[in-house]
This record gives sequence, structure tokens and C-alpha cells, in this order.
Amino acid sequence: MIADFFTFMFTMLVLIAFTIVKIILYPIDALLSALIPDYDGALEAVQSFFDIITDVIGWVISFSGIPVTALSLLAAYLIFKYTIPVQVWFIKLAGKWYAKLKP
Amino acid sequence: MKGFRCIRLKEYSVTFLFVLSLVSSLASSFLPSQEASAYGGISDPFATNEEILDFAVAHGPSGFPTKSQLKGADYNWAVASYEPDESTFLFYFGQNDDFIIENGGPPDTFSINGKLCRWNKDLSGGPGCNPIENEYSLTSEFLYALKLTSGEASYVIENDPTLYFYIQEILLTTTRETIRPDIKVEVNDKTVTLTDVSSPPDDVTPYALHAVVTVGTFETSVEFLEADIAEGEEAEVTVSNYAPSSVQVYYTELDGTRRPSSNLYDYRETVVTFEIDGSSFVIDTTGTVCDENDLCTPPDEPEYEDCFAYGTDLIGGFQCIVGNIGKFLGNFFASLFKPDPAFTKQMVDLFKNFTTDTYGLTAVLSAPFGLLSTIQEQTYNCVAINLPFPFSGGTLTLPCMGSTYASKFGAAFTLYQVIVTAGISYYVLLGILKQVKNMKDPENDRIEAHQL
Repeated sequence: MIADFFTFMFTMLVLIAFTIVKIILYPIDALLSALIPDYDGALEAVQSFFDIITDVIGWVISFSGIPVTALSLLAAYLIFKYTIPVQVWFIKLAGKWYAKLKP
Repeated sequence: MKGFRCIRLKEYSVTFLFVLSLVSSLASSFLPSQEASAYGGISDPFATNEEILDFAVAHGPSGFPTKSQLKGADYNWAVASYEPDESTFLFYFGQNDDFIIENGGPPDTFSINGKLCRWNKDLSGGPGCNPIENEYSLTSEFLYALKLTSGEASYVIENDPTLYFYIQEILLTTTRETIRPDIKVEVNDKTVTLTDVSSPPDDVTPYALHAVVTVGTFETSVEFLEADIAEGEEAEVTVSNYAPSSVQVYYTELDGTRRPSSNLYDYRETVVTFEIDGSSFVIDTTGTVCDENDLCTPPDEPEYEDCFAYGTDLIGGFQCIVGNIGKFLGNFFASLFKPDPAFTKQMVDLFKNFTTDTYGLTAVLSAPFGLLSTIQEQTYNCVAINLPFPFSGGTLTLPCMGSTYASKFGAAFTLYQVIVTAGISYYVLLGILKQVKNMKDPENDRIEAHQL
């Protein structure tokens, strides 16, 4: 019950933080898009790069012969390792921005 | 200062609304329901179709169709009403053509004049026919709705050829009373004493009970012990094992034969389960709730205490109200903090579903997680890679190697996979250990995301 409560509170914090970050970044993104026409293209390029990797990752894994269960474990660990700090960082970032912008 | 006042005003408004909702919720919890008392009985719920027709003819106004006419195909409508004084459903059959039924003149006059009509007894709309908007089918829900009107209105229903059978069936299913025997089970070590504590309606003829005590489970061994219990008396059985047990009790005639259900009463069984483990306890089935399989369990405790039961005991009543408010607040806040699994999953998956336009710049950080998510969920497929050679027009095809490795290298490939799996697992476990160690250091706020 206590674990559920803290999980819920944490996810709520992340949701609020992401919303604040999105709201604050929205005009900046819009400004960048207007002033740097290739800005959207750059973002798309990053995504396209990862899309290509995703397309060939099956063959790469097959070629390496690494068991998929081991890779799945490794991916799960990396997601855990990096998402928690990123979420905490977003919350801190949102908090700082809110403190700066509040009337 | 104005802003401060505005905020205080908002706080007062929120507090007022919260208290208002609290009071209304408590009131709805404590006040008794008003619906139940509207249901009543039926004087002759098992009237045959013929008897219903006889009744309709006998109570119909002058010029009411005869029974033979009612059975004819010309009369394809019926007017139904419920008489609370007589606790009786009334069905008036009629033609679909224009006609008028007089019932002693105004104000007890209603007409069917080529259109469907509703007849109100209070005749607030004046005597005669008030058009109704809907047609009704004769269903159990319709009959209950009819009873709820308590004689306020009549409704026109379709008199299809199977109407009479519907009437018979619905009245049977909605009015026959279910009764079960009640029994007190006293368990003392391996001795089980069964006492009849039934209180059937007064018109139930003298009866006896038959009890079957089942000890054990079918996985092990089962022991059946039977006992006949006279009305209000007790019987005793002794079991030979400690095991999960049950008692099944039903009504019998005085000669021991099982009592069948009648038109008035549906005689059901009472089944209770318990554990014979050497301890002593008492089970009384009075007031228990039984399911469709006749398994009876104690009813759930009401969530809130009935504070009206304290009557003039003001202190007790006040304590009751305070206790109920405490329970309400506890439930209220518990519901606030109860996590929604779907929402939690959505939040956990937030990073996995990032796209470049989800959060603009933040997508740079989140992009690798899509790839990691694909690997973790194993949603990728191995597709052979075709690389076209420049100038020559040829194509280099790189096939998937998994099956090739397995067939060519056999045990060596398996050994390789075991070693790699062990290495990755060791790395992951080492990493988790490192993460846990870092958690102990509150000053360490290094953000690994920056390394992405």
C-alpha cells in the first residue's frame, strides 16, 4: 500500500513536471522552428537514425548470436538506470523553472 | 491585499463545497432507501389464464368483451394496471379499432379511441383518453414499474398470442417466496450439534429437517453423516477426522421425504462450510446471505453504522456520527491515493513512446529509449539486409544468422550463448549494486541522462 502510494505520487510528479516542461519549451520550440528552419529536420534526423537502427537491430542481434533474453535484461536495466534519473531531473528542472517564473 | 483576499475567498469556497459534498454524501449514506416500500404482494399470483380472463370479464365495464371474444384474434391490445388496495394486476383486453369502454361514467371513464391511451385515476387531465408516447411490452421490469405506480396509471400493452403465458410465467417468477431452513451448528472437537432455528411463515405446514454433514475433501477422503431434525429440535453427529467440512440442510415432510416447492414457496437448501480442527465454535445461519448455489455466508458488515438506532441517546448518537465521518474521510482519502494501474503503466511507458514531436527538444534525450524499449520487449524482427553494390548493379544479401549458427556450431554456439548471458547478467547485477550504493549517498545527484 505504501509502495503504491509512493509510486502514484512519483508518477503524478513526473506528469506535472513533463507538462510544465512541455508548456515552457513549446514557445522555445516554436521560436527555434521559426528562426532555424532546419531545426525540425534535425530532430527528425535524430529520430530517423534511431528508426534505422531499430530496423536493423534484429539482424545485428542475430549476427552477434547474443541470446535475446540476455539483451532484454540488459535493455530493461538500461531503461531503469536512465529513466529514473531523467524523471528526477525533469522534476527538478520543472521546479526551478516554476520558481523563476512564478509571480 | 486584494489578491490575498481573493485567495482566502477561494479557500472558503473550496472548503464550503467540500463540506457540502461531505454532508450530502453522509446524508445519502444514512437515510433509508425510499424505494423498497413501494413493492407489494399480489393476492392471487398464480391465477391461470382462464382465471385472469374471468377476472377481466367480471370486473370489466358493461359492454366489455366476452371471454370468447377476448380469445379471438380481434382483440390485440390489453390495458394493464395495478390495484394496490387489492394487490392485483388488472388486464383489460380490447380491440385495436375504435371503441369506448364505459365504467360507470365519469370520473371512472377511460377511452381507447383508435389510439393508445393512458388513463390517470386522479384525472388531472380531465376524464377521457390521454395519449401515451410509448408502447410497452409485458416483461418483469414492466410489471415492477407498474407496481411502483401504485394504481396511479394504466398502460396499454401489446396483446400478442403468447401474452397469457407471459403473465403466468412472470407472476410465478416474481412472487414465489424463497425460504430456507436456518440451523445452529455447534462444533466441539469432533462433535457437531445441529439445532433447528428456522422461522418459516405461519402458513408453512409442519416440517422436519434433514442434514448432511460432509467431512473432508474429494482429494483425500470424504465422510458423509446424515441426521433428521424435528421442528425446533436438535441432533448430534460425531465425525472421525479433522478436515474442512460442510452442512447441507433442507426441509422435509414429516415422513422424511424432501419437501417440494409449491406455488407459494420455493423451498431451497442451506449450506454452510467450516473447518473441524479440534476447536469449539458456533455457526448460526439466521440472517446469512445465500448465493444461487445455496451456500450461505454472513452478510457483509454495513460500512456505516445506523446512528438513528441510538434514538434519544444523544451521546451515543454523536459518537456514532463522529465515527461515521471518520470512516467517510478515511475512505475518501484512500480513494484519492489509490493508484490507477492503467495510469501508472502509462506513466512508466512514457519514455518508451517518445517521438520527436512529443516534447520538442526533450526528444533528443528520449530518442534512445525507443530503441531500448524495442530490444527489451523483443518486438523487433530479423530481416535479411540487402546492400546494392555501386556501379555493378549487384546486391549483397546478409541473411539472419541465428539458425545458421545453431546448425553449424551446435554445442559450441550454446556454450557461447551461456557465457555471453552470464557476462551480461553479471554486468547488470553489478550495475544494480552500484545504483543501490549510490542511493545511500544523498549528496550524489549525478544525472546519468547527461551521458546519453
